[in-house]
Amino acid sequence: MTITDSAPGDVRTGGRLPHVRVAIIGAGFSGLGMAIRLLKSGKDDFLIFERAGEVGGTWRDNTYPGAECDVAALLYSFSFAQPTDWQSTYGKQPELYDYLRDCADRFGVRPYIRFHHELLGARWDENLRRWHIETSQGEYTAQVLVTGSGYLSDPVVPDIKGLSGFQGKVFHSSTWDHDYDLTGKRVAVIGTGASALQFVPKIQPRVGRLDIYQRTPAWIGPKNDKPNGRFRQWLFRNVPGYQKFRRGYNQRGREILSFIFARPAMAEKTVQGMMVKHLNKSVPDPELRARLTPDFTVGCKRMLFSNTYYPAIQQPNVELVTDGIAEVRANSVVTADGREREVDAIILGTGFRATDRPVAQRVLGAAGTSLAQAWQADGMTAYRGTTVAGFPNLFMLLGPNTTLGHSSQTVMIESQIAYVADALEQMEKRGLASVAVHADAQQAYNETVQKKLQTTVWNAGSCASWYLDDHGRNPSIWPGSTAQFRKQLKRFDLAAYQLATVSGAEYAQPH
Amino acid sequence: MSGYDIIDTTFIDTSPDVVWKELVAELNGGASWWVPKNTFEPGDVPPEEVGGETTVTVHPKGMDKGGPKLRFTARTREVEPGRRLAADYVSGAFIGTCEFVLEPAAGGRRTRLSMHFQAEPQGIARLLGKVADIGVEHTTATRAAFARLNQLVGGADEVTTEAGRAVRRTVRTGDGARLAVDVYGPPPGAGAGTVVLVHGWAAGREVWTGVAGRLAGLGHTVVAYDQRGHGESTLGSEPVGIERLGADLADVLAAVDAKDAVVAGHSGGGFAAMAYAIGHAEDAATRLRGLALLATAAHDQETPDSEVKLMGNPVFSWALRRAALGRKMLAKTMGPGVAADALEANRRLFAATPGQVRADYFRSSRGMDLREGLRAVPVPAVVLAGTADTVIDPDLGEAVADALPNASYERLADLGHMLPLEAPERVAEAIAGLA
Repeated sequence: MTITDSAPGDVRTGGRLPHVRVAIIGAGFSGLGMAIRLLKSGKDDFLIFERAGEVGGTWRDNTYPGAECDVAALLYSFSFAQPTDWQSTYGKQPELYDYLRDCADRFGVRPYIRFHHELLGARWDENLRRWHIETSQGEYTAQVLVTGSGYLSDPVVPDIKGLSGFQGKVFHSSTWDHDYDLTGKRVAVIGTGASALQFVPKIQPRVGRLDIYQRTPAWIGPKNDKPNGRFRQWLFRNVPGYQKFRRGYNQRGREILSFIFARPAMAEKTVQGMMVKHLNKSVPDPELRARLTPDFTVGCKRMLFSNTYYPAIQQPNVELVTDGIAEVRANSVVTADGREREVDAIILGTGFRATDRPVAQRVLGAAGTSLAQAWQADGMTAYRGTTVAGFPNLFMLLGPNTTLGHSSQTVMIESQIAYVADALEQMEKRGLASVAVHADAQQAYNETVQKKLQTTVWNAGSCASWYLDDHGRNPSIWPGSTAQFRKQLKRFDLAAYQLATVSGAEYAQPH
Repeated sequence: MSGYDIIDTTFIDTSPDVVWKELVAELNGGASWWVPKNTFEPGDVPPEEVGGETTVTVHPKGMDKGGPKLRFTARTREVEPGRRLAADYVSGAFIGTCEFVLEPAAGGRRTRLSMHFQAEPQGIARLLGKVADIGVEHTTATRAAFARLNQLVGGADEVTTEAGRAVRRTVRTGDGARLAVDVYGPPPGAGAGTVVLVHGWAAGREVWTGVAGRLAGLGHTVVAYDQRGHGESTLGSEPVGIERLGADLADVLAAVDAKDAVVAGHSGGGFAAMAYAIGHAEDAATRLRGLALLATAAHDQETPDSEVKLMGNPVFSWALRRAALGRKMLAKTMGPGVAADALEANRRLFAATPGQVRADYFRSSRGMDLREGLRAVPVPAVVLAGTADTVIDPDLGEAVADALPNASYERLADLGHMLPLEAPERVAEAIAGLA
């Protein structure tokens, strides 16, 4: 990193850096939501730094065939921006992408976005108590740094022997190559997570042969996706409160799941039973069914929904391979049993790095160490999923322990936005330059969260999921209901923070 | 944690040494910048020493107003003089810690001062905390105190005087006097060299108006200050004396971080300049480049009792305030044919000096003999005297030049005692020649 130090207390004349009150990283659901909230409260002293050339985040990048959301569109959208014309129950990628672009336009966010500005480094300047930000297109200073960089943004490329020497086509689902025609090709799909589950049924009819490499099967439930007919859209438009009611109904209904997932035995009897039924009904072959049956409690790994996956993998051109991959050769994939299958293309459905945050490497705190270093010893932690000791004025949207196994991330994002907005309000009211969470408050919070997680399906469900880190901790999941999360973030709790003011820093030099 | 954890930081436009002196003075009961919200009462061991104590009284509504007062005692735990003072709140309304940290900023021209307050309220403070936001009150009071401190010593005030645009600041001396200082021209180190002007007794920094304007125009950094008790400067705890005045000059030079400066002293200001060059030789080795000594002497200043009495006489003061009468009384201190406005400026400054200050100063030169010391002052010097000076005999000026190893002496025809007012261009020229 090549951030130049400003002389302490020296106000730069001439080469002074542009300064904003709030710098937001990323223009996905989090970043846009934060920006809209600021604009709505009349605050326009902020900028969004976005590495790509368009808004949308995850929903801009993941364009693989069949990409869609597993949470109803009514709930997986901003509460303050509810379209009435969702085409069906669940939002599809093009629809969600359009929705986010429309939000950026409608709320006038675009003038505040600096596209193609990738965050290279952010350093906390303890002297002047503000962030010094280096982007790919110049340096800035900001009082407050809000990261909206998500957790499904940096793909995992598996460490498979020989993968780099493969002569055919290889791509990750999140960087789908639409120019590559799969028609008639022999294709290997590695991974059977949420992404693979969605694109496999879409490409299966086109490809010549499809080998699906499955390490662990997932619990899959039916996806009751229905088109929103003209009557329903009419209701949304014309019956006051109807849409809000449907949204709230969905949200509260899903809270029941958080209750169930906290009780593995109950989860096995209820949710898991429903999924076993779905499997039994969809896959008549007992041998195949056995290979598709997970050996862990439902919810431990991300729960998936599809009506088309099971039928697709039973087509004659598909083979489910459950022997582990030994290596990849120039034109083939070899499994542990020594069998070699020739392929033209490999599609990685291997997901994302979710137990840390790639942005953590680029954020340096008060002690000059990065967030990644701070987390190295004990894994990723934060206070209320948002603030981190040693990193004043840093707010992480979808920070540690904010991932949900049961409901919409947008609800979590909005709760955190409220917290940040209240923090900004209180800071303004008190003339505070910075707020820094106490390490003991953060520790106490995490002890509570981890204790609660101990007995849930995520930790006690006997699986190795992407929710868990190398320490065996679960830095990902929020184990409670969304209502509990929202409640704890409703007010910015100053008592947990060290408060600081700065005066005279902008004083012109007397000479 | 149920207590408060607050850091208030400010940038003061002066060096950490100056800020440290102010901080120590305030904790010892100085009551100059934390009032009216907080006052301090030092214990038997002063708070700048480890184990020393100061009792803090918080007056939420101000010192003279009623309402509850919060008292607590801070015992100093660690001290790095000039840099850091950490204390524990050991009894009273708060239990906790506080820490002052001073760091040089902007190359030492500014100070980053922070106070870290970490405390749990006790008793009455806990009760008050239920109705008032003590954290906010603390921060508000601290920030206001810091702002006043900056006004006091940072002095980022830009002023325009007859001599031009100046930065006005205050320099705190070792014994607590506050000296009003004007800095004209480019910042120290940035121009054609620094010149420090020291006025004579019963005058003020305005006596240099014509000189300062000319020198600033030549690109010099010009520092003019009111000697203690004069103009806007206060008296300190030590009595007025030649050595003390030399020490004041040393404090001013340090505050503006002068390097290779020319010091010009007029009359009693010359005594101060010589006392500095002799008594602070080590400091002068880096700070002093040359001396301009105007209408001054190194010995034989045995002011008779009658004259000391006259200086403090209220009738004399009253007469001085009458413009025409005052001018007439002071006319003989200046040369024949002196300009009316120069004479009036002299009268105004003379009249503005409190009688007691005049008396103290005039008494202070008794027994002074700096000639022996001057022999060891190596810097080049210019000594000027008016042939018509009736206040200090021009021969005494010649004795100064004789004592200095590297001095020139010149008698200026038909000029009286008030050279900076009577011949500002000639004085400026002499100073510029040394710079």
